Order: sequence, then structure tokens, then C-alpha cells
Amino acid sequence: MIGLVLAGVLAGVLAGMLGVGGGAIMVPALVIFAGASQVGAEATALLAIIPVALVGAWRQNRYGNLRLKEGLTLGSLSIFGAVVGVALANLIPQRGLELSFAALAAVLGLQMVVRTYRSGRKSDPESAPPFDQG
Amino acid sequence: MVPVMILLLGYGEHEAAGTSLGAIVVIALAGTITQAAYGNVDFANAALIGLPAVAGVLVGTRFQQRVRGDVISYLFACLLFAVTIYLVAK
Repeated sequence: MIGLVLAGVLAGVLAGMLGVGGGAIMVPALVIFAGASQVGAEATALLAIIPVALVGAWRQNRYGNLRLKEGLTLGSLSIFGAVVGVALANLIPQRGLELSFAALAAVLGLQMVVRTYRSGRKSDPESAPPFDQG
Repeated sequence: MVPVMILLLGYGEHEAAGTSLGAIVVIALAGTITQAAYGNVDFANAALIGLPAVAGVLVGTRFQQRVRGDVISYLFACLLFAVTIYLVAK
């Protein structure tokens, strides 16, 4: 029980910091600490994410970081994807689901690093070649 | 969603995080209704992990305002790699 509570706090901090729902922490925590199946953990995490995202969005709105209309549009467009995803999660073997998600996370992580490193080099004046200055 | 917003839609890191949370409310609501129809949702465990997470999100959003955008991106990438390693290794 204490494991779930601590995982919840960690998931919430990550949600606020990174704009995720916290499912990446909640799903494994529910499997490890509550003995849930992968599908059961994903379903339970979805419910837990609702108040987290609501409160997070409310706070981010106060900081001027929420584009409400675009967020609601993106969310609404994703509903179709979410419904199909849930149906697939109940059809695909568990290991296949895990490995597909692992591959997607790896590709996106690499893209984030490459993009951030490149934009950092572009905006860093010391990295520009000398003949480009003045 | 955050990587897609940053990589494809040109959002800044802070805006992507904030707007993503708004979108997640809608997505999680739809996903929960569908999963509940399959009988997969455990309400007690959801409260046990979700309520502490609400406290966490208050701390996280406050802290995020003091952190630079590129730091958020690198942290996000670390999270994605950690998820990959966990899922492959288990």
C-alpha cells in the first residue's frame, strides 16, 4: 500500500513537470505493488490520471501554459485512438503490447534528445563557426 | 503526446506540458469509460495511487516553472528510456 502511495506522489510530480498523465509510473507500480495484470493496471491508471490531469491543467492554466482549445481538440481527436487502443489492448498478447510500447518510447526518446541537442547548438553563440560572426 | 507537440507542432516545452495535461483529461476519461465496460478498473487502487498523485502534480507544476525548457526535454527523454528498459527487461 505504501508503495502505491509513493508511486502516486512520484507520478504526480512527473505529471506536473513533464505534462504526462503519470501512467508510466502508475502502471508498473500497480503491477508490482497491487498484483494487477498489465491490462488491469492500465485501466486503473487511466481512472487515477483523470484528477491528476485536471488539477495539473488548472495549475498550468494559471501559469499561462495551457492552450485550452487546442488541448481539448487534441484530446477529443485522441478519443478515437484511445477507444481503439483499449480494444487492441484486450486483444493483443501482453508481451506484444509491452514490446510495442517499449519501441515507441525508445524512438520518441531519441528524437527528443537529438532535437534538443541540435536546437541548443543553434542557439549557443560559442558553437557557431568564427567566420560566421560579424 | 508531449514529444509529438514539441517535435511536430512546434510547441515550447512548458506549453506542451500544460496543454498535454488538458488533452489527457479528455483521453483518460474516454479510456476509463471504455475500460470500465470491460470490468478492468480497480476503483480502490485508483484512489490509492491517484490521490497522492494529485498532491504530487501540485508540487511538479510549481517546480516546472523554474526549470528551463531543454532540461524538461532531457528529463522527458530519460523517462522514455527508463520505460523502454523496464518493459524490455521484465
